[in-house]
Amino acid sequence: MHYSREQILKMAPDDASVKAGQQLASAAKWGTRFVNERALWGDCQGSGKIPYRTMVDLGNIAFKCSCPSRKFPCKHGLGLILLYTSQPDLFSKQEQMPEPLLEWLGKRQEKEVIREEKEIKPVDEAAQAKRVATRERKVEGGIEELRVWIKDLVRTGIMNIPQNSYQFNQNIIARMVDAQAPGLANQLRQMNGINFYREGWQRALIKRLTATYLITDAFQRLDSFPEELKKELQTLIGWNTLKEDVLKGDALSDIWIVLSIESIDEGNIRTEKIWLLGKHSGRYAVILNFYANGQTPQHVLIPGMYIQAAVVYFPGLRPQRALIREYQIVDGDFGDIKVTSSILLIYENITTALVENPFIEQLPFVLNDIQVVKKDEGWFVVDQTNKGFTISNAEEICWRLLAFTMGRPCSCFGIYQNEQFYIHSLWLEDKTYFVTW
Amino acid sequence: MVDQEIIKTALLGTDNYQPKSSVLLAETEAKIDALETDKEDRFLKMAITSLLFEECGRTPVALENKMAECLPETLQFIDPTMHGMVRSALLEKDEVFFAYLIFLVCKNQQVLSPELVPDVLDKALENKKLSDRLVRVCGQTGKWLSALNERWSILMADEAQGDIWETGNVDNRKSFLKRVRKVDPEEAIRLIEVTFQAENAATRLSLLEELHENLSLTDEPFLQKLLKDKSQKVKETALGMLRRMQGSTLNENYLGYILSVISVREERYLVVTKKKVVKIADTLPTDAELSGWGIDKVSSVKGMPDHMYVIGQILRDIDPTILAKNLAVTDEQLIRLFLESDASEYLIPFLVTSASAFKNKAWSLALLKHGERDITLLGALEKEERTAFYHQFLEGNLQGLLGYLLDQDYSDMQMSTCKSLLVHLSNNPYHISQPVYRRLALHLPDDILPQLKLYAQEPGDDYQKRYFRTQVIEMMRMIELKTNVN
Repeated sequence: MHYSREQILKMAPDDASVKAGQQLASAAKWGTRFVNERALWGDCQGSGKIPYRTMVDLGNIAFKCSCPSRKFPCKHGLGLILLYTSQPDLFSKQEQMPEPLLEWLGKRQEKEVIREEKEIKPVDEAAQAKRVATRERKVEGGIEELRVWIKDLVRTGIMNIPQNSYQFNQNIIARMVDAQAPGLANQLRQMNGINFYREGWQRALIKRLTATYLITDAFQRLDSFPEELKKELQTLIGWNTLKEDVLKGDALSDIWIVLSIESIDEGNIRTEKIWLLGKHSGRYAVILNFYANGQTPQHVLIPGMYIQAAVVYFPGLRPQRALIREYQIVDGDFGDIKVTSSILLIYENITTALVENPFIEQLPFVLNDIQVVKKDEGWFVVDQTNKGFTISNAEEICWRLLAFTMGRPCSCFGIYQNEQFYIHSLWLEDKTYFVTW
Repeated sequence: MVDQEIIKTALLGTDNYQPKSSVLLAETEAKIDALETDKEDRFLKMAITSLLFEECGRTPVALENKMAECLPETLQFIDPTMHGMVRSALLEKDEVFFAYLIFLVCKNQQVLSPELVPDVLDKALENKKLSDRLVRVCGQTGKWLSALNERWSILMADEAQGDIWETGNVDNRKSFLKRVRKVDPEEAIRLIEVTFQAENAATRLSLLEELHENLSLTDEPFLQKLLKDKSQKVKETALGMLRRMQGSTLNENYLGYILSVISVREERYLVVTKKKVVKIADTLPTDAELSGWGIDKVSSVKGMPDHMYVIGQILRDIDPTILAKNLAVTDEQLIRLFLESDASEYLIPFLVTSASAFKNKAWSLALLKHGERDITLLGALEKEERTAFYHQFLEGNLQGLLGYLLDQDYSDMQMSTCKSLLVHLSNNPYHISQPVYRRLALHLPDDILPQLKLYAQEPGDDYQKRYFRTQVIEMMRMIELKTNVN
């Protein structure tokens, strides 16, 4: 089994499960503990008379437990696999698996086969074209309404929005979802993330409104744009490109460095963002994974890892989103990452990127030989030529960043987004610090 | 059109305000103005163009870095495994295990990884009991960060300048005074005297309470002045300190009175032998003497004569050793004589207070052997000497007993104590809370595991049994964790 403790804890549905899982990672809690190539299983004495039977499919990680918990994986599943990671010797090797476990593994295998069969089913092209046309009509209708809504807002003024900051856009978001334009709904949702109690909300809101308007405007003359920009706009509106189609594209093989992994919980969905940097190509890639409640990660990547991988980008202008076709973990050292030590160059890159693609949302950067500096009430990253920028990380994170560097020059990876610089990772000689891990 | 113009228009609405033209974007503006659309469309297009234009033209800020680097650590950093465990304990708010890990880091003379330091300094502010240890494991990084963050600076009061005394809040000043009192008691009095009358009553009282440590005769003049303080509580506290201060005028008066009413004499015993006895006269001090002594003249205890009550109150504040010396007997003899005397039924509670206040070993041992159940008496004994008396407190004062057993050094408890404790807890599992069970586990020796296993397998389905079984399993896990960490 190749899962580390951190990776297992990442599978937990919430913090309480992490804690409970760790408490159950003790030999004393498990009456029986077995392992073989395919599975882990054991009996955990809970508060009831009959112990819970917990099973873990090691082939394609999955959990099953007889406890009544609705969390997935439950604390028993996490506890069992954590115990195995820390003390594998406590588990007896047993090839003979109990009947319920065999049955469960068999069912999982059947499902896998059905899924594969589904994937090779031929597509009904006529029906698909009809669906596309219907959706386009819906999207166009939605966009028209969105444009009217934005215009109405600027006609009457945005002054009173802070008083109604949670509600002012809910109807139009719902309308965009109905119009099958989830990308636009997402753009609108981001307005709710603006801090309306802090000075500067006006600029942030007007920027988001006008940028959304620009997308709708560009969409109306989609055919006049080059193919990449067209794809970019379609993605922004909410058209998905099938992963299978993306994977058919040209792959970029390189040694990729996992710069950061960030998880964001939005309702029942957990979005995972993995930022990669190609060691030789110098290109950035972001892998987005979406997990519904209880789904376990599809990868075993952790920040700081080096992987030899074939990465395929989604179509678009200056694409960043990508998929990993296949990968292998290789040795590497963060100290090797040398990109630039000039903050001026980062600003130039931002300008170039925005000129080329004004819709770009996030711009990753790596800076070497910089220092984290606290001056008055502000936090900055400063290069050796005394040029710097303000960082937007929360105050408590800034203190951790400063503590990590001990005031010494270091390297950092960050993202430029919403006109702000956010630091994700720092490294210094042989030490690394990941803000979001 | 500058971005301020855009924001103004957006705030007021295009119906009420139209942005002024921008020289820089005149050409683009002209093109947009030429569009045959409504004013909102033109504004939105001009706005995004201007905002992007402005964003593209931004340059870095010029900033000279004048921050000094942190001094190199002299101690070794913790290893990655320990780092992971401390981090997990912090994230999971596992206070019990976190405190244990910090103890280990201290014991191993190591320091935490720098990135953990800000969170640990925050913990030090919350947890005064652990504060010193937490600051120690933060090493140089802690000192460096505290110099940059006013909130943490109080933690480094040793290094801090005296201006905390003038500018800090009450808690900061109290901590500062406490540290000064520890190293230079007279300096603490000098500090407190300067501003004392300008403070409010609550602050005066809280600062005064810090003087309990290192109390000596040099504090007497200051405390005497406080007997005229406006606050009743301040007056009472100062009087209490003077009463217990051996050699103070008040305490000398107490001693004088006690020596006038208590004497040790030899009496004939069984015709041929002689035996020492303590004699207590029933003379009460005069009203003039009593005024200002801070004691009650009339007994409030049922059946206790007034003179015994007065003597008892005074005995509480006299060091047993000094009293014994003045009566020309040893500490052991004196307590034996008191316990044998007829007055013992009245005086024992007062003698217990005295023994524990002055940490008198001979008296404490005698009183414990006599069956007294005041747990503070254990404070006068060495760790090894206490064990024999633990059983006295299992029933009735388990919480107090745990205060002695669960020390800051996580020393292993003796097997016999562990066994008695487990028997008691198995019958009364709700006497302590879950965190206390976990804390207790960190003091149990590994050899107790078979015993715990038996409890974990004990049959019984009632709530009490199940609860105790769960706690036992958790204790086994904690012992396992402890073994792995070590």
